[in-house]
Amino acid sequence: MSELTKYKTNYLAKRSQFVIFDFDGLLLNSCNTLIDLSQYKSNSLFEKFPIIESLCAQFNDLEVNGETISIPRIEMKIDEEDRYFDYIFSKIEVENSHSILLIINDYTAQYEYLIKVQQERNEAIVDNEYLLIEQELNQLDKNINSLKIENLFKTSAFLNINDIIIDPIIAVAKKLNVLVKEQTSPTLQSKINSICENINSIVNNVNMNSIFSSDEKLRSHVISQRAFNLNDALWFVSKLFHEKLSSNNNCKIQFKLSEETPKQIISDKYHLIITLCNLLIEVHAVFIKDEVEIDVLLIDSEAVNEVVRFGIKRTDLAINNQLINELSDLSNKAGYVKQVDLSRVNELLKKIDGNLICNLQEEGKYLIEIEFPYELAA
Amino acid sequence: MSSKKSISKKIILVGSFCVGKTSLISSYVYKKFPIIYQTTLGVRIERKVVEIADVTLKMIIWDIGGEQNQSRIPESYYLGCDGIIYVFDLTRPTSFQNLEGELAFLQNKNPGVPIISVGNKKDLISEELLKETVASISPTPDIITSAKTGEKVDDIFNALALKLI
Repeated sequence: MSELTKYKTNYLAKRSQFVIFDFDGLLLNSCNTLIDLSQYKSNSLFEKFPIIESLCAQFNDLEVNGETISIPRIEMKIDEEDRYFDYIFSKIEVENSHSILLIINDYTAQYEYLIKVQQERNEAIVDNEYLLIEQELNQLDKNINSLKIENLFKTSAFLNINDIIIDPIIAVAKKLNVLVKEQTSPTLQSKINSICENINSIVNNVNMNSIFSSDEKLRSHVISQRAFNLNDALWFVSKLFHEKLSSNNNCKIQFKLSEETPKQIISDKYHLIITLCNLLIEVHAVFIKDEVEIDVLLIDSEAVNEVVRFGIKRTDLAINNQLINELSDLSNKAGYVKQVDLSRVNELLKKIDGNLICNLQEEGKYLIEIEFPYELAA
Repeated sequence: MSSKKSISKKIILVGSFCVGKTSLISSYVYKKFPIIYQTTLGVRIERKVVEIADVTLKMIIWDIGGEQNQSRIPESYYLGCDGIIYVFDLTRPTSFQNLEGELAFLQNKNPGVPIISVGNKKDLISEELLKETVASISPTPDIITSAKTGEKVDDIFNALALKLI
């Protein structure tokens, strides 16, 4: 043997183990260079090398001195230490019978470096991914804030439109309604009706978006106290309800104002309209038919602010009993009353320091009342 | 005298890196959760014997080092594979954003082999976010687990075992 071959043999002998076993995984022969297999002689290697058990069927397909099966980077614990091996399986002929030769090459030193690099790379990638997610969340928060500001601006803009444009238009529409009833000429009546329709269309289109606006938009609405005519506001709610909400059924809303109810009050007209409309939207599904009478009463109050109470009396209004029990905490709940969900109305009222009262009149019959604060206009 | 039928099946766990494949196996085989993340370079092989109905099933579980793209896995790792568990991390969208493609690749590579998709690390997200996340994943994962708490870990292997016997 040449010196070169001797060094080569010595070098490889330290890093490789040769194992011969049969097709049932029984150990036939092995050196113990890397893994001590002395106790496995003629025994199954399946427990020590589960890999052999899982590849048994594949060994049958190998040709003697032909193709090999190479499994790189196998991690094993030897004497509590992590070791990294490459396995090469091949079919060989020993004493006229076929066996499997497993060559185990130890690359622990080389792979340890790779592990370190891979570990650092993976941790850096994962950190970066979480950082990107955090940045996206921050950006989403910023976008939500921008939308809130935009909504606030739109709501304020709507209030200005309401005061500057819609109120006078409503006044014109009311006068036209009176005029059309007094008119005897059918041609003129038709023309006035046509104008009325156009005016109503403008009013409704401008207001509808706000009446049915999102919860987020309603929450962002800033309460603004101004003097307005209560009759006008209720007339508008009634008109909106009849034209937009109950157009497909016979439900009628009638506001019955008590004699003491003031005509001019100071409060948030927009908020009152939205609250009443939301109340009617919720109970509308239950009303279906019939006439609904809403009593509007002035309530004597010792508090600084007076309240105007809207009472909806229904004999067949189905309300979940839970609502009665948990009414005081209603603003924290939503969607739990199957029949009538008043949480949105309650939330709107809370915003203006109003109240939602739901009283059991007699078995299965309820009175829903909302108290809306105001101040008397000069 | 009745003797149980004994069979041996090779199961591979694949998926992106750092999704918890090794932890799931550790939780299943040793009922332990490794606290420190240690990358798997190539493959670790574990063995677990379970009794299912009248069968003794020897599961040879190959824990394959994570790759973002399964085509990078050495071909020989797939040899003789009987079942596949594809694991992803519910908190990292990159680990499941190409789930459909990855599953298709694995199925193509291993025709007829059952595959179970598993969303891991459930313990790290809220129920609300979990619902949103799962709803956004296509196809819907088969099992949602937490290797840390052990929740549904056994279910993964049991579900696959039932498909293998």
